[in-house]
Amino acid sequence: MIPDQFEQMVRNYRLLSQFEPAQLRKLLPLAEEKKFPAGRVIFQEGDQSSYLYLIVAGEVALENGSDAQSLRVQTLHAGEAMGWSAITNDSTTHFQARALTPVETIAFPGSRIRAACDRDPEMGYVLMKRLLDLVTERLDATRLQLVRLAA
Amino acid sequence: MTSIPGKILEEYTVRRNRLALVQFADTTRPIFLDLVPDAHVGDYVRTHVGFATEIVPEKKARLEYDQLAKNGGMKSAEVDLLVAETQPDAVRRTKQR
Repeated sequence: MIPDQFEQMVRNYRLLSQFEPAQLRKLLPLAEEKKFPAGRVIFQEGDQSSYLYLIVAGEVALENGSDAQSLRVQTLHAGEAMGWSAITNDSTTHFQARALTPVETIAFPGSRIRAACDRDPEMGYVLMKRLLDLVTERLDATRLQLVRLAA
Repeated sequence: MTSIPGKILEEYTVRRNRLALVQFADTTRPIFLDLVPDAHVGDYVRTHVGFATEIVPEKKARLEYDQLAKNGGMKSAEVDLLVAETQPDAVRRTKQR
């Protein structure tokens, strides 16, 4: 019987856990652990996004807008990623991210991960596929939110 | 990417990943072993962001613990706990799901 914490670990690290070891060896040296207390704004809409984050513990609200009228687009949990704008050429963030609970992340500096992907396009392709899944999830969540608003 | 080494207490295979329960001072946490295929129960590993990145020889691990203890970074009892022999009931070999 495998303890739940190991199953959970694989789920929480799903962005990384399926890379080949040789690719992981290139990605991990770029990674930093970053923690945020509950209530902390991790990044604001319109900021220049510096990091791609993998959430490994806690919950984050992704919000449209940055004031009291902000609209929650999605609640992110361990295993999900945020800040994908960091790896695009225009790294302006499209949402505000706010920690709902104490949050632990693995953060990848966008410029360095872009350079690593340029050097190893095969690894970059795997990463981009994962991130495309992430962007698709985000689009679906936004669409659902719009449907709710219209109802 | 430097950290204190941790000792592997248990190991498991979950789908395509190898993981271990690793002891660091008075705490344990799950760690991926995919980058250190030769690491097994009883070995010491250095880790970074949840992944073991290298096996550390036991002598070297002990030296690092001693150094930390001298600097007050780790209590003696915690060091004793880390370098103690793995107890048979704590050893569970890889289980494939």
